[in-house]
Amino acid sequence: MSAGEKDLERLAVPSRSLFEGADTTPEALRGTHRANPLSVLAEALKMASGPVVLVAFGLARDFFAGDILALAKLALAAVGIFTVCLLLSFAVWRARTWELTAEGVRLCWGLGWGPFSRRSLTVPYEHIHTVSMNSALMERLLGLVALDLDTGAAASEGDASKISGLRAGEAEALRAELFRRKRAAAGQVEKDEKDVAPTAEHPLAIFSLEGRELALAAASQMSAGSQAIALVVLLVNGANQLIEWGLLDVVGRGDELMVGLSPMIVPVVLAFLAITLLLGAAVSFVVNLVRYAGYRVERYADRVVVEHGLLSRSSRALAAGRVQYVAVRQGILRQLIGYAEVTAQVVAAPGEKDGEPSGSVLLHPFIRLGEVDAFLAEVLPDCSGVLGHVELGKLGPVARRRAVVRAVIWWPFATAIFLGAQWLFGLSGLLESAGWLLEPLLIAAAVLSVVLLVGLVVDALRAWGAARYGHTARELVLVTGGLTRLTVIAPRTRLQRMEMRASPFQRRAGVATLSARTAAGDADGLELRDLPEEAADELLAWYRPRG
Amino acid sequence: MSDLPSHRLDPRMLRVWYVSDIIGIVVVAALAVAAWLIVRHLGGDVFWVYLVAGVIEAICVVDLLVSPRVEYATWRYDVTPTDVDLYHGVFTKKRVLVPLVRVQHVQTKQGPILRAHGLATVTISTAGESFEIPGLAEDDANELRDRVAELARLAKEDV
Repeated sequence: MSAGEKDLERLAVPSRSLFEGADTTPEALRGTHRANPLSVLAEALKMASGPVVLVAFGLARDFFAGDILALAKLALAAVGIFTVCLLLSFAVWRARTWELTAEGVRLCWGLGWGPFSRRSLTVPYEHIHTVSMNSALMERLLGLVALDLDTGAAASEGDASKISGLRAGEAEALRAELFRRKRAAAGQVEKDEKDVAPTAEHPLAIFSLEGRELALAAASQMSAGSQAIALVVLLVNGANQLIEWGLLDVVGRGDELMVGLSPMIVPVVLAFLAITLLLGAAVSFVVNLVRYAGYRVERYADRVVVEHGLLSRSSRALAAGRVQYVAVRQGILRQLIGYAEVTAQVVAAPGEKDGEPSGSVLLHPFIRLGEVDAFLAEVLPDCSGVLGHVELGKLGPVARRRAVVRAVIWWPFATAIFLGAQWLFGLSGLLESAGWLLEPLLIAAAVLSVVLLVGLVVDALRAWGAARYGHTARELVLVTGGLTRLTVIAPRTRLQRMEMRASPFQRRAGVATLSARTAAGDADGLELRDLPEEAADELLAWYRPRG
Repeated sequence: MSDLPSHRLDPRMLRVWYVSDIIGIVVVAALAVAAWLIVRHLGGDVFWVYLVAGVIEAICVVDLLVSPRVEYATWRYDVTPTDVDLYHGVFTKKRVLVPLVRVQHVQTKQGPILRAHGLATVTISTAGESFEIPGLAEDDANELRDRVAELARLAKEDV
């Protein structure tokens, strides 16, 4: 049957499946499916681990007090909890099915009584934006994979749109089949493509990251500070727990400790800070290494597949036509070495996936800035031919003055509030009674506030120097950010709205703030402050639909 | 900002804003009396109640005197065959452009105060955000809603 005849028939009998006739669906994907039985075990283990750890914590005090029986209690409790979880996860597993129907993927779940009534969800193929394939450590050991479908729906489907417990090969085939059906539903299937089995599809382009580049990528993305804070929190919690278990006896000995430490408090604090920062850097390096390892991006005709992760493997396939905008991000270290990270923003449920916001898909973790355009040409041709080819405008001197004022304006206010509070509540009296603690804290706060002030001013000046705006016929381009520089390429057809706003101060200075939104939840980098009013007007006019 | 949209809100909207602001002031006053009774009953210092209530009332009164008039004088909107164009704001003036292709749905809304004045609010939603045109005459609002819906239907494209 020719494509034309097929179309005619479809018009005549709309209820007939698009996928009848030359059905290339692999045998294994037909009919109703449940997850692999192994996933019952995996789910039960995952479910049980939380309560068991809690019980272990509860019994730890007895154990440290020399009660060996606590171990037996723990084992008994673990067996009990695990059995309950096994039964539960078996029931859930039995209830959860998926099937590829003519209209879409049909997912059923719910035990069928009370609040767990039987539910089903049909995700139409053409509305699939991204398909994420994840495998946490436990699933990886058992060789299982979960697929998560994301559509452009405003309300998130959460776990409902998840197909878990697939064998790796099966998941791969299912994903290819989903995208094939998406193409078919959108009427994009070429005649000869129909007979090609989905597995025979070859990627048009492949990028990966190895060896030295991987190490550099992990090193230049370090966030020593946040890891150090996490470490300190962990230490404090640990100490707290030890005190609770009676292993560390400091109650009522605070003064004694302070007297012992006070002559060397500054070196001790500094050394502690240095050590935590070093450790934080190391941890962050390892975390990044694990996350970026095995990074690989493949481009197919209709989708981009991004894989990465060493311990828990994740692979996301995004429909190329559904990418809302592309962001090129450079931290301060990467600005120095001229490398950047490329992400694609998509419509997704709010939340996180593998430690990244689920709306942003990492396309390339580490690429030379000059090569970004070539990379985009291979991976997302819609957004290529922009960087390096488009003429961009700079902000005027007025914007610099305003940026610096914005960066420092809080300082006099904060100081005034502090001094006012001191005057009102007589902090000086307090200072005398607890001087040993408050004085260093005050000095530290003052020093920190000045450091923060300098940092903010530097950030503001860098942001002003780097800020650019412009557009091609099809894309809006904005460059923002000082310490983290963000270059955004947003196709005009993806922008939901554009807004130009001006406060009284901005109106007097003849500048305005321009902001845009796409359907993606994230709007990072889609706002630029203080660009000249005429430029904002021009961008607005460019955005206005023509005809 | 060049060539602002041409349509203005219905003049009755000014009264609606005044009425709702006055209701706000009355509610705050009622809450302040309740707080005063409770604090006095518990034997606390009533000075703080006076201070907090006074500050809030003062802000409300200033708001009543300034924002409805400025808001009304500023508000402009246009629905062209291709886009919705809005301009409004008390201090920060905002100009928003929403192409009709991006409009997902339109709705009109009427609270009791708006209904008493024969007005309605039109809300235009895109994927992610929605925008309001407050205070149009009922018929205008319905017509605008239908027009936006019709134009959005004609302008075909997907997210």
